[in-house]
Amino acid sequence: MGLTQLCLKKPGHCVPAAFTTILRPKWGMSTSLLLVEDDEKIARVLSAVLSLEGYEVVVAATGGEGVDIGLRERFDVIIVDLRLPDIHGFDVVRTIRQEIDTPIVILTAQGESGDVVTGLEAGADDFLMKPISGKELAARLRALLRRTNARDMSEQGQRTIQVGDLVVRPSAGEVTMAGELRALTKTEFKVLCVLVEKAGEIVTREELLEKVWGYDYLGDSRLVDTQIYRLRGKLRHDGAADVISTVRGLGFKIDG
Amino acid sequence: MLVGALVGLSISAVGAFATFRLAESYLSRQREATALTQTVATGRLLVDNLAEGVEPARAILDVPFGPIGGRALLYTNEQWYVSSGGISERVLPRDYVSELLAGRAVQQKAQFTSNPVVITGLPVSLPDDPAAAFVIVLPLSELDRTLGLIGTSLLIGAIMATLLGGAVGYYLSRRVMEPLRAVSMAATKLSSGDLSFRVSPPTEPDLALIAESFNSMLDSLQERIRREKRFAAHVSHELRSPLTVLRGSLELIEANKESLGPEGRLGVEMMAERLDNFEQMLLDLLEIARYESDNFEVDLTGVEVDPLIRSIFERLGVDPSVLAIDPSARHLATLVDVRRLHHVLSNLVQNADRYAGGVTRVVVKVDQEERVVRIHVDDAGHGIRVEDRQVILEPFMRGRNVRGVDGAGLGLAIVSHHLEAMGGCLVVGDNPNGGARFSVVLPIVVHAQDQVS
Repeated sequence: MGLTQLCLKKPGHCVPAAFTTILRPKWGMSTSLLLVEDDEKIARVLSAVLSLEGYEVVVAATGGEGVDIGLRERFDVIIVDLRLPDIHGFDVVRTIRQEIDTPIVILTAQGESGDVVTGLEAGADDFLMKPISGKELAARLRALLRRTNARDMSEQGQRTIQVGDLVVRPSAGEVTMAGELRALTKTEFKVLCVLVEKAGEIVTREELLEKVWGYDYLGDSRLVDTQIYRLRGKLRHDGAADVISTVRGLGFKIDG
Repeated sequence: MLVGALVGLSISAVGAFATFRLAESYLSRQREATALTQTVATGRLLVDNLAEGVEPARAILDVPFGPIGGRALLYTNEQWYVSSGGISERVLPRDYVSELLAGRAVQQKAQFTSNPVVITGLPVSLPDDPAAAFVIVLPLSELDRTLGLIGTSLLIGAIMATLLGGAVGYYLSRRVMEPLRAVSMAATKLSSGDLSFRVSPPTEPDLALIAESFNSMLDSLQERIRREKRFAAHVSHELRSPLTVLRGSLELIEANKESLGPEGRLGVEMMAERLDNFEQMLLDLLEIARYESDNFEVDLTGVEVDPLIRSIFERLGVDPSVLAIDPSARHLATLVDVRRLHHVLSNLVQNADRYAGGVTRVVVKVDQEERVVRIHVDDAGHGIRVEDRQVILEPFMRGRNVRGVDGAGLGLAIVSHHLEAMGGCLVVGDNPNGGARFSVVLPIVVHAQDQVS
């Protein structure tokens, strides 16, 4: 079945409504950020630096506290350290991710290559290493929070993209598979949007890294692979073939 | 193994042959002696008979022979008498007869009706003829059969011995080689980075020792590497955390730079520069620790050479006009670890900036014959002395003309490691305009799987 764009008024990119609420300055409010970090000095200095970049930072000094606060209050983005005194950062990420779709970034001083995969599989959206400058960190967060395209979709309102049984409503941030609603994280949703926008075409890892994470060629392709893996799992439908196919050595594709 | 079997086979063949020849000569000597004895005995009997007046023609017929039979001839009074038909003095060799008639005992082997025989002749003295002679022709076919039997047994024996010896040798050498083979296999796995492999102990106690000591060596090696890894992880964590605080603090100060006096600003600038160097050194050290412990992976992705190189140099702040890229690189796709290649080129550009006033030219050449891409990074400095060209690729080693410039000598070591990990290498030389030329050699790798599926 071909790609059907039901409400296409003009060519543009899809963006879930949720992003707009995050990014549109709500009565002058800054972006809220939860920093789960046990090292007091790091927590203080990062809070200060991030405040300079316009973030309103809440610090949780333990993993348990991080999970509690993170689930109780809604943050725009959550940063998690890995070595925490009580529970491991991976478990913090996993627990929070099970409940909510907020972007989570791991920021750690311990960076074995296996950790990156574990962290991403636990549900993190990006994996960053200390030391990192406030500017760099802010740039990474901005990329995760931004829409996939600057063009606002408000005038496109109820645009719906349908590919086979898959229906994506960018403005509502909704995805249905054969009429059944599927809950995606914001990053998964952005990846899916890039793919359905170019249904029938190959989308390279580099393109996804750039459009979703804001990385140039230095982005870690495992970020993409993990999200694609999770997306496939969430979009699986009654033994039907995967919606997203891998084109070896080139990238990914949703058949239009 | 095959050589051993062949050597074994020839040894037993030579042995069997020698045994056969020995047996043959011994048996035929025995046979000749027997023939002589028999001739003497029958000769005496014949002489007695003749002395009793028996006619020679009659007496010769009465000569007794054993079960193997034989023929007898008597020469007396210039006349030959034979024991049976089919034989006559004419079958006797001429010089044999003349020798015999000259009065000497003669023994000789000959062929009679195409059978081997031994002819034994004795001069005898008869009452009426003192110069008579007596000859007995005895068949040797029995001996030949015996020798044939011996030969066959020896041949079979030799073959059996060789096979058996080979089998036993093979079994024994297997027993000896098995643990050695296992050890060498383990060593191969070890060198490819798999330390979990262990040699299963062989049943032979002497050989079990080899396996045991090899395994315990692996144990301690693995433990050591584990410790080193843990140490590197700790160092990484303990140094990265304060660096994070330093970097953040510096940014906070920089955000309020206006409130500082000129000295304060100078201090902040110097701190920023030092911090950058320090951070770079830490990352380099961790990189080295990682590759020393073999704990690295290559993340190869398919890329097009031309656009990638352009964007790397652009990001590194190199003026695009110094790039001279072979047009055939435009659509050339290869597998590259982009992060590593970025690190390599970044380091070369940084070195050129630090030591030689910057990159003057970048030449990218595609060598389809050797299936490599060469990226030459040229500068206009004093070049690298020939004797330093290999040395500077070692960790903590620097060229002699870099005094006064900060650096720990880790950069190029990491560069060449990165390239080796990708199957390439770094070549240090001169460029045509006099400065140094650092050539990155990258293999062109195209995976069979990397076709559109």
